[in-house]
Amino acid sequence: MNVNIDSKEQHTYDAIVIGSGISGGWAAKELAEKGLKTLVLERGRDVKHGVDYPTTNMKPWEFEHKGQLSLDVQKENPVVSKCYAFREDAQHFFVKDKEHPYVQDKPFDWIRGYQVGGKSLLWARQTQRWSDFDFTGPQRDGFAVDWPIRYKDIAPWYSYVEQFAGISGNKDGLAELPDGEFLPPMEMTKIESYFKEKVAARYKDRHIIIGRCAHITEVKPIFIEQGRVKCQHRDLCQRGCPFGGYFSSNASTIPWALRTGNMTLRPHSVVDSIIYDEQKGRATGVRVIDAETKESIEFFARIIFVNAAALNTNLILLNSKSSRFPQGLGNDNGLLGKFVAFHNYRARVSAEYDGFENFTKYGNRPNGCYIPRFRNVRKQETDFLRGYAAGLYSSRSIDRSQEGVGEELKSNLLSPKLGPWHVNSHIMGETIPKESNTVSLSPTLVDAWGIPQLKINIDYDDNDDKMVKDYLEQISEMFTDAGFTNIKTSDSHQAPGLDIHEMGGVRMGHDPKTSLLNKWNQLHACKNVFVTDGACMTSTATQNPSLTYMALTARAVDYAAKQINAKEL
Amino acid sequence: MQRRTALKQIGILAGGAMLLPSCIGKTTAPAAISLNKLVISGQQENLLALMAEALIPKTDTPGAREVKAHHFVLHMLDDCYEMDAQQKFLSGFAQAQQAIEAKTGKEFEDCSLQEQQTFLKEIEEGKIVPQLKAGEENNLEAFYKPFKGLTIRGYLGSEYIMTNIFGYNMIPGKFQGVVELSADSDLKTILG
Repeated sequence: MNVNIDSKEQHTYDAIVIGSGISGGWAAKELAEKGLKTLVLERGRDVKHGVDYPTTNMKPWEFEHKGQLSLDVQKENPVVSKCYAFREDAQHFFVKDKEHPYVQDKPFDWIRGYQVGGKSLLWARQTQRWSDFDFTGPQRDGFAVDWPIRYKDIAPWYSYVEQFAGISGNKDGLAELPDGEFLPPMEMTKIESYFKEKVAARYKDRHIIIGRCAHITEVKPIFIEQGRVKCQHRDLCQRGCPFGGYFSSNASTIPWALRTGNMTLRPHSVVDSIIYDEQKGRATGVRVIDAETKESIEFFARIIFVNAAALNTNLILLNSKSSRFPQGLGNDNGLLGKFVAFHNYRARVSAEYDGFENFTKYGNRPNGCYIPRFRNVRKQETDFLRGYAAGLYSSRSIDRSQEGVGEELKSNLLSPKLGPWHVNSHIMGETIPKESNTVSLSPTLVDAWGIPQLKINIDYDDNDDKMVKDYLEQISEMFTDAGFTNIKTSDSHQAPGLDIHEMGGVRMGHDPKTSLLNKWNQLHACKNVFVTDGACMTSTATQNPSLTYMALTARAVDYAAKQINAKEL
Repeated sequence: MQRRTALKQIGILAGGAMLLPSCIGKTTAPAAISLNKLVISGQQENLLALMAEALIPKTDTPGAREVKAHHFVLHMLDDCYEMDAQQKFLSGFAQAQQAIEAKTGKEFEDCSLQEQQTFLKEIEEGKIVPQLKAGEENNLEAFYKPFKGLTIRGYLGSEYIMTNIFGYNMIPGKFQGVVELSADSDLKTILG
């Protein structure tokens, strides 16, 4: 008996998916549903839906520090502590700085979630479709390379993933933000509806809409089949939702894939590299280091989906060196790791409104309002390229005097009154992918598993600064026009990364000379490797990107399966 | 090296403990609370509870002591404050004890609720000047401000107040964007 052959057979699958986050989960589901024996490699621990959400049912008073993290934790984790969701209730789903070091050639706040489900447990769940105004952006404005796909190529796949994930939204009929397969929209508050009307009256091309988000707002058989029910408006999503009210790999795609009997999930599997066979002219498998034993193991498959999250996907490909690909897998043109981009989240505008004092809301809305991009949509009209979308939220402040001592103080504390309405907005700006925004492998530093650390060299540019200025001016003008007062603008100058929308480095394109992936997300130079996470993005548009990753993934799996059946792969 | 020296000076090196300033103990029972860095006696824990209770007393609803707001103060001080702020808090806590004794001739726990509250009010108004040793800083404010702020947070965030007074509901089940209030809307409606 040949142990090696047995072992190789045991380690051979039809497909391998690297990563179990929002796009990896979709790859797993689609591949397994098509009958392909699929191995999903996840570098972190398993997080089972409902079971491994330790804080999900904790009441506010059960947290020793009412949500705040200890100073020691914050000092040990200067990067991840900047993330709004890194708090007492969800800290266990975030990568701690020291455990996974990286090199910041320029400041970059790299926020990561290493567990089954990845950051799909933690995401902000905003899901907008791209339009052709976005897909044609690089071509029209002369940056990056032309997208090899258009809206018509991805539209059916948006519909496909929306129907399974559950997307709440309103059909607003905007060409720049195509409608999807929506579940009922969440409601706007009194002041949000008022602002929507004021803006519509003054600007024909600016729209305030309710956020489109991955929450179930209507029971449907497809959600019951997944074991998910309606969003209960707890607004505690970052802890993991016991109702499956929002979409995550954990609640949806991973258990779905498991039920087919075709998926094997292997947590604690740190991918070192993809194995390339020069005789066969294809990738044959994946080299893994067991995170716990540090043992090196190889797995083999006919096709490989790389969904490690944008920058880690770059890292894996860069580290997959062979004599055919000395600069990393598929990197014949030297562009791997270049043209990385992100979303500009630096700027905010806040205001108050004296009015509607007899109105409030009930319950929590794990969603906000959204202002689709209105700058340079149909033609170039400003001194910067592209534009920004904006988030918009309103709430009433609570006025509660803390004056006095004894019964006077107590009475003050127990008699809160509603203060004025507060309206807050933040920018979500498109950034222009540039060759100088790069990730590369550190020549000297490795992590605890012997894998080179990622060197990140990413910065804002003049276009971003101009965009911030315009956003602050335009939103202030819109707020002023609506009669809002106490308008305050701010630019946090936060480092790139905190947007958690890093994209690119393995971009799609028509031409193998100027891009890494073709229109099916296949590496031009190694066709059985697909990249369908944020790394594939040619440009960033202004939309929250996850929905597009899901749609691209489902589309790429469909193509891959057809190619396998046609014996082309 | 500097940080290490500072740590040594106030006695919290790994495994060590920072002691609240001890005063004449009325009870030798250990504190009920378990802390990471600070170590306090039952008597000190009790004194802080009394101060919190004087700040937010029991009426027809529980006061700060009953909802353990003083434990929240200690947990926050223990884990979420810089060493320097911890030290000043503890020093100011001791100064407050000495000051009330100097003023009334009694320890805080032996004063009437009225006396305790008057004293806290006077600290708040800057009317209490502690007797300081040479080189000692006046830390009354560095104690009182976080003490009051954290007691209020602990009280408002307690189970009793959140559920019985403010109607906290972890699972609202729905979101209504527009709720119109009237003159007789109750607190639960107002706070939505």
